[in-house]
Amino acid sequence: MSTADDPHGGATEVLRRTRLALVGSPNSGKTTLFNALTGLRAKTGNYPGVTVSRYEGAAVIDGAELIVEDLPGSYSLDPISPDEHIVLESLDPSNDRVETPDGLLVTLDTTTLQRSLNLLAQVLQTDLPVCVVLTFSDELTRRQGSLDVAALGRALGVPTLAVTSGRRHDLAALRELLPDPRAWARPALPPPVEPAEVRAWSQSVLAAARYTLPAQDERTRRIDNVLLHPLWGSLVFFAVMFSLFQVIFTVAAPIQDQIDEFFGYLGSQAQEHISNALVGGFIADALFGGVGSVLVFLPQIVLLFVMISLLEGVGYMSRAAFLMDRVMAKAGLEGRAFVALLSSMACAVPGIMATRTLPSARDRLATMMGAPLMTCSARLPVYVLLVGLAVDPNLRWGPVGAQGLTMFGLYVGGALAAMTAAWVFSRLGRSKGPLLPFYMEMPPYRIPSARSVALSVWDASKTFLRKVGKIILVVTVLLWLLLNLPARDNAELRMAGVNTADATAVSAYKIDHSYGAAVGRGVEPVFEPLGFDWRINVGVVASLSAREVFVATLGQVASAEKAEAPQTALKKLKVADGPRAGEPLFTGPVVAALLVFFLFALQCTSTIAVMRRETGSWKWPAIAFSYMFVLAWVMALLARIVVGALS
Amino acid sequence: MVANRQPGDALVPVHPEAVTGDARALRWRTPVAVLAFVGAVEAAPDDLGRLMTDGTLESLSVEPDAVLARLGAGRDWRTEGPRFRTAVQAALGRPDGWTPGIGAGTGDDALRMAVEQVIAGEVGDYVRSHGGEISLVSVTDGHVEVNLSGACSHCPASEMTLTQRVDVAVRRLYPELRGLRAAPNVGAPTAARRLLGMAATRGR
Amino acid sequence: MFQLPTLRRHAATPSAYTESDSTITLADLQQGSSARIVDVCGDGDPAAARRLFDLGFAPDALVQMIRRAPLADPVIFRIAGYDVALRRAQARRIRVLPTL
Repeated sequence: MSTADDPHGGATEVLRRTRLALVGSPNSGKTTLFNALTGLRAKTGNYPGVTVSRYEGAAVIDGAELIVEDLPGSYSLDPISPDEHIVLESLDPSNDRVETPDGLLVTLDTTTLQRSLNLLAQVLQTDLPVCVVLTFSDELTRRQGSLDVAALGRALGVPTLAVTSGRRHDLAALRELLPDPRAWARPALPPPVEPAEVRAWSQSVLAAARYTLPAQDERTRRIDNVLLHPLWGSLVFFAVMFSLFQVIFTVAAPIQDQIDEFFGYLGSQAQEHISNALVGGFIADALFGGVGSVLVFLPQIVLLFVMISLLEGVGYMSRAAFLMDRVMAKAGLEGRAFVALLSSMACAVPGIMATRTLPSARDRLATMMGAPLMTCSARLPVYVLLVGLAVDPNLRWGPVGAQGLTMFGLYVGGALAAMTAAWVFSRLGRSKGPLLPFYMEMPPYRIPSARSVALSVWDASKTFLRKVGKIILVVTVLLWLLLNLPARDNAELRMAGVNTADATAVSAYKIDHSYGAAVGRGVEPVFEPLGFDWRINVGVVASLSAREVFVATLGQVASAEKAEAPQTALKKLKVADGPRAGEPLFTGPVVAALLVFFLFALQCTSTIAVMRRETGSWKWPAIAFSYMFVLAWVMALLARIVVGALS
Repeated sequence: MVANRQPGDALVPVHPEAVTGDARALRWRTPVAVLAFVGAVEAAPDDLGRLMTDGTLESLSVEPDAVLARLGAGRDWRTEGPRFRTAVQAALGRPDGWTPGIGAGTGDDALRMAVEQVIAGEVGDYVRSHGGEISLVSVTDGHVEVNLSGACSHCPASEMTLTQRVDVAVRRLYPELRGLRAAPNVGAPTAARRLLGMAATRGR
Repeated sequence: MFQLPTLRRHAATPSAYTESDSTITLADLQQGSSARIVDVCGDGDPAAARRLFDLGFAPDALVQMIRRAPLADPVIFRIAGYDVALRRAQARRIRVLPTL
């Protein structure tokens, strides 16, 4: 159904475009081929209802547009994970949930051909037109292996060609074949299904293709001797992870500050030039502020994905996972989850996106459920404020200060909570299906192409801005409206006895009488046992847009001179009503409850939005928000009781 | 991989390859010389034998590295293939249960077939693509003589490498090959062509 | 069409291994030593056994133990020309005959 033959340009839209799907095991060069065929025309989405990313793109050949889909990498069509179910469903014509491709491109790494034929045997069972693309034949030759490509093609009975990445000629030969999968040769008889017969078939095919196994890669062996060494390997691992963390934490920070400042400047310009204070405030804080709060994540995402795709492309990621597997197994996860959890200490948003490297959907979910509990950088200002309120800065034991110790405790608490949550969720996931056997290929060290690194960064940033940014922006605008409406004019303010010249007093009055305050009062019964009054509740509600907003909102509520550093004003706050009326609001037990609440609660729209995007449904963000809220509430209550009993 | 397998360990490695222009025939590639003969099969053991007698198979013959099977009229490989595969693998595990048919042979016959296969195959294609020609002269007691002629026949070096290539290819199909050489100066046409070739070289 | 059979306990009964006192599990293999796979235990979890087959852990295949992780688990094996890490729990399901 090549649209190239269609003389009427307008009709091409009506014709169904030829669909090709890429099938292959991880590390088989499948994604490199996908990138080479589609480039920037790729789109990322989700398969309906599952946590599996879907990559699809258009390839233009002779003016005709083909749809190419990059199916999840898998070692077998006998599905034991949701990702592999996707591959199977995609190849099953009787399945209507996903469109069946017209032809399959199966990438086979020639250095692992013996194993890869097992997958090919299963793919040929589907009876869809198949074209075999042999990859890494340059590496096979370098490692003294050999293969007769033409003889392999005869033995397989399907078009078979070697495509070495970077060789335009190879790719051109492949592109010529693509438009018409119906014309591809089919095997007279598909390979057998019974394992012993499959083995006999693949041995015979390999013998006919005069295949000789490559020698062990000398370079890889030498590097592994260091990188997997009990001592040196561990040192390198910690150094790599430390620099990864440092880069997303410190290198990104100044860029993020500049983005913040820039949008702050835009906002102040807007406020200066727009006479209506409400409109000005809306444009400045809700719109520019909202866009700013989306873009502020970008430096972290770009940097993290540059590093992740480099480490993945080089082959270090599986080594790191190999070193950490035993530790992560304690949390029911596998080694690869470590990077995602570590990244979450900077920010859960890139951390959750980093779970894409996990091959099993179940591990991805468990990691995502735990990741937001890691102490992220947005919790830091909240912790600094609250710890400053409750813990005496002069209390110290030798070099160890009580404030620092509390902060350290909060970080450790977050990490433990994250691991525990991941463990619980992987247990829950396990009850729904058989235990997946753990296996991880150790690919030879290879030099990743700049193109594939760039495309992976581009893809991550693009989907974040498009899909996640929208949600963050909407929530920011909604929260702004909540805290700034109904609008007050100066006459009303004067009637209420507010000095309209005093900006602090005005903003305090506005927020105290906003819909948000009404919400804060409305939820008072919920937070009463934790010792929060409506003012803290307003802060908690506002912090939904981002945790650090809590500090400024609380400052506004307490009419602090400097809303960014409201410690002094907060210390003076008294409980307004109820049995504790007149007592200081921020007592030790209440601050402890607040700290613990922020440790556990999912007070972050961006995290919720990115979770929505990565899992493909609202179900998992809803579960995460609910379980973390309940957990936060219960733990905060416990903290209040325990600290109350101690003091 | 195939070399260090012991008989009885696992199934005999086989895979089918299409035969150009004949949809009912499939060439089932096997390890070299699993059977002691080449040519038509009169009877085969067990289920394969039944496939021959019940008309599923029209004919069955043995090649140095394959079993060539042709289905009876109205049958197709998609349906019969799985049963045939299991049957032929089982039968190949019992090489002494096979009965050679009329015209089938052993030893030198297998060697002759191997040489013909090589000439018809890749190596022959290579020679022909260079304007040359290669033909079998004789097979005697494990020794083979071939005749190389055509564009490159005047070049002794190319004759050497060519003979070597043929030797390697034939040995792959018939490991007991005892010797292979190019026939010296056989027949008038070749000699004449060689002279012509030399003359042409001198003329330049 | 996609139904795949689960692995039989033996693909073919290997006559050479009948005196199987000398078989050990893959988890017991020392660093650097090689073994030939006798069978993959499919009891209880045929899907996992099938996956191990698809990864190359088939009866009669040669496997070499490359190295252990610093914390003793998982272990890297070379099979069918590539390296793959298995946890010891999986390796214990694979019976092998050490080669000399």
